[in-house]
Amino acid sequence: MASKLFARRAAVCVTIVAAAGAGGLSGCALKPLVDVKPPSDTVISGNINNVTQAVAVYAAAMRLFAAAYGGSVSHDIGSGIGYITETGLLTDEFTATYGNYPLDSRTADTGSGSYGTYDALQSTRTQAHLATSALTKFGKASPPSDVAESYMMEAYTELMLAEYICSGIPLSTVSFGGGITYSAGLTTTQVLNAAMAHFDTASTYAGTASVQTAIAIGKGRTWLDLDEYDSAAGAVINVAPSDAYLVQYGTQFGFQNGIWVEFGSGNLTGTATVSNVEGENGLNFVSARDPRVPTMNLGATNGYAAYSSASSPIVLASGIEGQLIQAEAALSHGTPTWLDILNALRTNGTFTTAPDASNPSVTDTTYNAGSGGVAGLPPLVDPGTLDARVDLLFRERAFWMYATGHREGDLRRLVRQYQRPEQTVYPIGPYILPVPVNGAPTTYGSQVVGIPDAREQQTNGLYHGCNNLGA
Amino acid sequence: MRPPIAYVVLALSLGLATSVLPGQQPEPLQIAQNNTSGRGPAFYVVRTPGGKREVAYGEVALRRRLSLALDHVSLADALAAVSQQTGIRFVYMKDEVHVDRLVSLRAQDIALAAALTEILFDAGVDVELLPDNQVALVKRLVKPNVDDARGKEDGNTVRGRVTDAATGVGLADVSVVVNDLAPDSESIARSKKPLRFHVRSSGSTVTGKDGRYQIGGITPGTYVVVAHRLSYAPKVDTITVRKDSGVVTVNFQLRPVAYSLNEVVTTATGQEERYKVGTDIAVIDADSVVKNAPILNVSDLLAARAPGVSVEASSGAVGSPSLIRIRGISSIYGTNDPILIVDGVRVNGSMSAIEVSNMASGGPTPSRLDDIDPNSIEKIEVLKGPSASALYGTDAANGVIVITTKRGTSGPARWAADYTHSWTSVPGNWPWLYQGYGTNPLSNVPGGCSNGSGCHQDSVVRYNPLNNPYTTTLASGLTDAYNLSVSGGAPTVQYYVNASREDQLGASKLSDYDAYLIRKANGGSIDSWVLRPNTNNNNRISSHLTMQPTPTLDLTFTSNFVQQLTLNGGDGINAALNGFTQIDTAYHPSSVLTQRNTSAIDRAFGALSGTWRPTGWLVFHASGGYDYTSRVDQSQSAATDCVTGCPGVTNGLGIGRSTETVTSVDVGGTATWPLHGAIGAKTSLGEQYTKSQTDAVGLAGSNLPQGSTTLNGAASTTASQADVVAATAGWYVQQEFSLNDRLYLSGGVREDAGSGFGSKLVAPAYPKASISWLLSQEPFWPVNTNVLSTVRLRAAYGQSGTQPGQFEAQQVYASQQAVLGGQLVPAYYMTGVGNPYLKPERTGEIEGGADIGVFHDRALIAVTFYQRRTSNELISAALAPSVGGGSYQENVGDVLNQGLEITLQRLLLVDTRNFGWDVNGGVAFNKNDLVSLGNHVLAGYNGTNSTTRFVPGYPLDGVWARPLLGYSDQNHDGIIERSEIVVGDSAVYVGATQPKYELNLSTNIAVLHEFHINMLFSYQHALTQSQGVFNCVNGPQSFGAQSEHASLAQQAQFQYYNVTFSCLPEVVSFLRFQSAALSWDVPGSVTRRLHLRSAQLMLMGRNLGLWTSYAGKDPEVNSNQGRDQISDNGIVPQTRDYSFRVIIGF
Repeated sequence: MASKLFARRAAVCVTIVAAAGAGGLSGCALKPLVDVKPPSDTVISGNINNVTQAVAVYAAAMRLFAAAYGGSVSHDIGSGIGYITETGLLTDEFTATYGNYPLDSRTADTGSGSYGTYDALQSTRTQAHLATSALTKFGKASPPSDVAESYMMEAYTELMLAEYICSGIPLSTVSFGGGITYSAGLTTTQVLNAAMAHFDTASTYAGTASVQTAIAIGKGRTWLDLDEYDSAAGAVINVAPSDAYLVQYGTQFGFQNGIWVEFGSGNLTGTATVSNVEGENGLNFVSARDPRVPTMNLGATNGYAAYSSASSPIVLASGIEGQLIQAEAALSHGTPTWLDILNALRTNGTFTTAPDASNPSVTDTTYNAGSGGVAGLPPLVDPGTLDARVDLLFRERAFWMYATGHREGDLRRLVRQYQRPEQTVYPIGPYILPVPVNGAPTTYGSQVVGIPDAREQQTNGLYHGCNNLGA
Repeated sequence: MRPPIAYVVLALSLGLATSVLPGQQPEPLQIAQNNTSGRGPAFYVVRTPGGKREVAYGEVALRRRLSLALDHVSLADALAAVSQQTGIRFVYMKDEVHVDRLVSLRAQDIALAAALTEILFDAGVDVELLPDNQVALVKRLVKPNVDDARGKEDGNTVRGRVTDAATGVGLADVSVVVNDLAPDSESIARSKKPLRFHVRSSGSTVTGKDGRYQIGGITPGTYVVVAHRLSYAPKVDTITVRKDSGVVTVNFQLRPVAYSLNEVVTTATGQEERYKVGTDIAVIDADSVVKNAPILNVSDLLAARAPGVSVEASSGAVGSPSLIRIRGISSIYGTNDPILIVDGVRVNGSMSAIEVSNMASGGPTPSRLDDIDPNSIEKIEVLKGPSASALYGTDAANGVIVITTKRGTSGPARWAADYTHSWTSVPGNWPWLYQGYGTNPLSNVPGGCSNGSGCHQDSVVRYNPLNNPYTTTLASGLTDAYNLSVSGGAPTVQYYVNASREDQLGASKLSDYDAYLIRKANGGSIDSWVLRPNTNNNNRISSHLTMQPTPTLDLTFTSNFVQQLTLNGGDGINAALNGFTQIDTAYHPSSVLTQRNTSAIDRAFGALSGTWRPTGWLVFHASGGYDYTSRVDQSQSAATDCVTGCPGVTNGLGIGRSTETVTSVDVGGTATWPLHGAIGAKTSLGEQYTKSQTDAVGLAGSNLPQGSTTLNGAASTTASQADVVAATAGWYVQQEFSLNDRLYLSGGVREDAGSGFGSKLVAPAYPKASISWLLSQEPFWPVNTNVLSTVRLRAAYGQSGTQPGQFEAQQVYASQQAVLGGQLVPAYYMTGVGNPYLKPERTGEIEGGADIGVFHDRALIAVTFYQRRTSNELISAALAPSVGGGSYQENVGDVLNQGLEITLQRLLLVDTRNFGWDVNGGVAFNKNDLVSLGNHVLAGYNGTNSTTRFVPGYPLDGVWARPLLGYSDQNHDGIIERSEIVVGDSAVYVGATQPKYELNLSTNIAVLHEFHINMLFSYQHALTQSQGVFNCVNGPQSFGAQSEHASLAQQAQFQYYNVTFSCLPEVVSFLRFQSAALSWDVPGSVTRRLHLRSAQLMLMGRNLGLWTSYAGKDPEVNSNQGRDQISDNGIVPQTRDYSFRVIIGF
């Protein structure tokens, strides 16, 4: 009797356990119960599963790219100044008027990624990588150009890192959906190769004309950095001088053209000024009165007048750069066409003459615009020596591509590829600010590259600092 | 002459009856008088199927009430009538019970026990209460149940009966041991050694259900006979047995001890007797504490009442929160708050950061734990850690506070009301502040000397506005508290409703001088909140409904409504307490007394739970709870209420609104069965689900029009939104075994899924195991010792977790905008990398200890050692920029908490008829150690600059500071200058933020059964506190050279701030006289005249004394919201309260 009773009870117990188990008492079955809806302003990667959402990830990459490239200190995402401003300060393009003196005076040579560009480029690269993942996964129906553009942005951020940051750049990755893969510091060449690979991938998608321009020019620029002039010329051969890829900005706070904000156009109290023969070696960007570098007098400082509003786009890559690349390739072979290419950008060769209104004995010559689209540039004359030709070519690059983040790469190439000593290309000597500031450095230092944020070394166990602080 | 069993049972029920119906003639009295011949039934209870039967006394079932009108009906019909009213099913063998006999009974509202006693009078049966609401009528055994075989052997026999001294009821399961104490003559002859005292058991047995025992085979000699039973003080008798003694009768009357291991405690699987549970669960009898001590909230109830449960007060301002920390702190980024269970369901009890800071201003507000009305609480149990809380799953790593609210008893409505009035003030004297005056050598301008100016000091003034009645910002506060409750019901439905109201006025005010100045400036009007900037008002209603719709089903519905409004005048109070050296300075209190911070709570939470016993051995339970809190915080700055136009103050208004909900479901079942012989088994299985969600929005407007109190018209507004959601779901299984009702083993496992867990994570399982051994119940236990009358050994191990932060495991994107083609388009920015491998923090705890009853169980000492290791510590690690920067959570690091807790439970010092004195106490040691932290950079934590740090090898939140190495008055001018102190270059470890040990002591004195005195003291040893109030930031040091009136040591401390720009933390200890209460139970002769059931008058005091090495105001208070705020800067010290209370029952 007792054993029977016990047997019955035991049977019921087993039934309870079994029923409860069938009812979902396993760890896996519990998970749906705890799937919580994220707040309205937050999206979980697991919930990104359609074209619209994938495009939103791409849109964020576009925004981050714009900020990292031409943003200002006041942009909302990321922090610090954009690539154009930061490299412009380090080189002879800009001079600081407020803060950023160590960078401007080339003395910020210890772990100074905190200016923001390193971080901004890296987070843009990460977001672009996530965008390529999301688009290739869910964005089949979106324009293939978005995918091409995302890869292109990944490539450009790598290219910019290579041109600015010291050798030893980690290209860590975050997978879409989670997971981190840390990377050791790669050499400049390795990073350029990575950029090239991303440009190659980008070119396998049908981009719009402007995206194709950016890809071709980006490739050419990368080949130049790799000291491969013929490949560079080959990459850009199909780009017409009038082609361009423009980075978009908005009038809304946080989406603005940082150069317009920084250089006085926006608020007349910008954080930098256009330099004029900065630190002995600098070019005369102001006094040249060159229409390619329009400036405006803001009293003690010179504003950069190229942009009319906060939403003015900034050129990332253009056919002009393509022509300059071809000219450089020609020069590397000693082919005389290098000068013809440069001059074709400046003028179509025709001109008008008229007496000077204030001095009738002088005849003013006005050249008609060349393929570069800027009027009034007389043709150049071959200076004769190789060094002078190189100087002329790089001066043309500096003026054509002023404030588009090319100068730092060019100065480093002059050192690396044209064997110019650093002190002959970077600003040197006494550091003089247009508006004197107490406590500012008094002499230019020797910094020629950007240095990753100190946090890189602290939290990325594979990273062990710069390989080389030189150009 | 022992009273018969039935009489005793009846007397118990009579007590209840007479107290319910004062002045009425209760019929049961007559029954009792009739029933003096011992022919009524005996009452027993069988708690588990097939289990032993125990004598029933005070069983709830026996107190069920019914009314009968039976005139010469058959016993069968009578039983049917009883059955109908009480839901009890009677079972009996027809040949044992003569159901045809006729019985009569007319009675109104009598207890079941009384009714059965009457109708079963002379029926020759006893009553057994079975688990599933069944009552068995069994034939009364004629002979005592003697189970000792030796009784049949030759020799002498010892026998007798063991009864409860208080009730006369025979006690079953009493161990009776006959010990041979004196050596017999043979052994003396054999041994040349001196006479040796030795103990040898000559026989032992256990009493039968009527308390009788018999031990045979006792050879001649002198014996000590010991009778002992759990929860009773053992008794000893010495007998001499001669050859021809035959039967020696030894009767014992055992006295119940105050502390009972029989007490029922709450576990995740249900209620269980304490002696079966392998952990030390602290039980606070809230009902009795609230009645006998000045208690305003749940934190007060917990303070200094359970070792290991530490209550950290944040301020003396009314409506201030306290942090509850159990057995130290374990988490760096996760919460260290215990979870809160009320009537079986999880509710919001959080007390850390987000809950206690005013959403609009950052000032403190009450914690969610303190929303709960202490008057509605029956008892609080504290499960101190994973060893006890493992089955509660993730979130329970910091312990569980289990609150059981009061429930009704059937019968006519019983009302109770009380009123308390308190006067509060801030005790103590305030130190002088000094200000040097002189001439500035550069400008030749006389004035206050500032440090480093080279000032030629020529005079010193001393002042402290708090010492001047005209300028002080401290005032007398008042509290009025009202409470009304009613309880009652029918046999199948009982109710309890409690309503209370509290109006508190804090002990701070605008100084009279400032009021005068403002009135002068503003033409006479001052807002009342500026005059008294700290108030707290509560209205609470809680109700408890219990139903037994069928004999096998119990349903409970509880609901609580809380309305609370707290005003904390923020800056004004703080600034005033920072100290000023002059009556008129730029730092004048009134110039900053401009912020009106309010927090309004509307909260409702309730639980519906049911217990179903389909058969006697199977119990199912299910409960669902919902907790809804609406919170509106406001912070208003008004530029009108200042003396000098409020420099820097604009009219501003911040509003924070949030709704917080907790939804929980808990279902489970327990099956009990005898496995084999003495081995019992119990299996429990259950599933729990909890989801908590907070949706908050913040709005702020600045430059409001003068006098405006709405956001309309603000020059600019900003808005923010924060939504937090977390859910866990888990199931558990637990298997228990018992052996001989003395050894209990239990093992279980809980498996959880959590909304914060990584996708790559297999649902974590938390194991538990425990053992409890009633050693002193074993036959071999040498019970003749009076010192160790009860010994229980216990050990337990369990694991629990802390869930990662919301969406830390998932890659999250912020949904914002981007510009594309000149248009704003939606954009998803990756803001959290997501760690798919993210696990909960896992805390494993092992605890072991003993419950020891000493001196005939006059006191019970519980000793518990624990070691708690938290691994997979969740840290927010800074990310390398190359992965996009930011931070993400990782499982890194270990934290170890070790400690010892000793509880002294009611040491009865004096226990006479007219005077009783007992002492309770506890001491808790805790050592906290951050064992490792990996090599990660903690996000948002500036390690080397923080006062509190996370450094491996030191406690969590260890306090670090540059040391003050020395000082000397080198130029002998009596003034320590900045250059005359030596401060170490780098910070060194100072101490832990938590005390090394805490000690609490309470004592109760009862005189003439009418007067009761209760006192509570607490001592905390070696915690770190930083003086912010007077001796640091706003002390005279900031004004320069010091006075010769201040001691050199004091001056050195002042100067320390000038060197380091931080205050010097100190390791301090303190003893606080927490409370005292004198109560008088108004005698029945008086209450009857007033038509009251009962009345009690009380005088109470709180915070009556503080003895400390700390030179600042209060070593205990600090604004706990941030981890690194170990300073009493700007905080009202804890107040001293005197209260008067009257309690009546009617």
